[in-house]
Amino acid sequence: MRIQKAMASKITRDFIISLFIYALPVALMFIWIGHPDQRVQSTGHVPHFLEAIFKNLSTWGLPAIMVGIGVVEFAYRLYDNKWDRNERILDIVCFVIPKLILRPAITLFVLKILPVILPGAKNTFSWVPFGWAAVIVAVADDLTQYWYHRLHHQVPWLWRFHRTHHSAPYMGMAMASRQNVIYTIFFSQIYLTAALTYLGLGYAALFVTGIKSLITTGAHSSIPWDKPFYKYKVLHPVAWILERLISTPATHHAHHADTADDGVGNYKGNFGNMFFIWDVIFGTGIITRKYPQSFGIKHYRQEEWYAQFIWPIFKSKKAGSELALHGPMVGDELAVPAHDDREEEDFVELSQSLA
Amino acid sequence: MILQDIILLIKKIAVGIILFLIPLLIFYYGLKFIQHHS
Repeated sequence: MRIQKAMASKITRDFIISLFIYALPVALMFIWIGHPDQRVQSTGHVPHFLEAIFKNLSTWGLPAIMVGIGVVEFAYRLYDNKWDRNERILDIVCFVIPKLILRPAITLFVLKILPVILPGAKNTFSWVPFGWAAVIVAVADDLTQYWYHRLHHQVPWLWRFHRTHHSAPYMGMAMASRQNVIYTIFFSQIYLTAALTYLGLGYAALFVTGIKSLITTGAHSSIPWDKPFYKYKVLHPVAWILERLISTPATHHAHHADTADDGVGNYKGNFGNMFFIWDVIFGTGIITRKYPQSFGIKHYRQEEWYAQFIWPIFKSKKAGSELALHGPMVGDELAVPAHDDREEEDFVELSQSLA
Repeated sequence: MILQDIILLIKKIAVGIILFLIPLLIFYYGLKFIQHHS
């Protein structure tokens, strides 16, 4: 049980630190607004053409960009001929279905639930200046997703809801949306950002979520846009900042590696989505400029697409699968480093006791 | 779905609600505080 206790105490410590990080932009804004010269009437707006771009991004623009990237990846055979029928159906279903479910779910949440839990609070904070609102939404949305993501890796009984995102033996733009539908529907940060929009920070949320979607799609894509930053010496200072601030293809591909033995893969860390800085702060990140040789999970059994999409409602028929009825909670390859036998024994003991 | 799965789903939703509520309360009361004191 050693891992469980050590992990639990680290999670607790880091979450307490997170409470201060959540409060930081609000505290800094209080200090800034407290200065008489900084009192503002206008909340600030960005140029009209930028607003139009981000409005379109949030509707049809981003899916169109993702499809475009997918076409490029496919044309250049970046899926490495591993995109078989089962993977194809799963990737397409994960791309399409949540888009049809999530929007009505969020609309219902904003129109029916928020007025109940926050009565009379609609647009209460529309006075918050745009810059501060953007910082608040960015921290709220991305730090919450960091935690949602990290817990699905570090809490054994949550892992199977996130496994679908890691099962593919390739990387590509489809990975950004390849999730078990229950993982996607209960994304905490979507509802948090919807609540902040309801409270009056919607204009900033439009830009932050647009930028975030571009960064996360780029981090999953098999187009290595970050390589020039590592190749040309003049760009190294920019690379140094970029790889600590946001998720790059190199650091996020490392998160999807099927092994850590090559010194590049870090499937037990690099949890950041838009920002990588959370991994730097909490010590869960490994910064790399190399790409892993292989992706996925060692114990992948090519489970049926429907089981991967909607487990535990539908189960896999593959014997021994994590997604099968009475299957193991965590496949040992993912959670156990091969070089640490003592941890392996502890983990097996922990898994058995939890199963 | 078996009972164990339903319990698992309830636990998972509870985690999601906690991750939603804690930051929301921090931002809500933090911004309310600024609204009343500046």
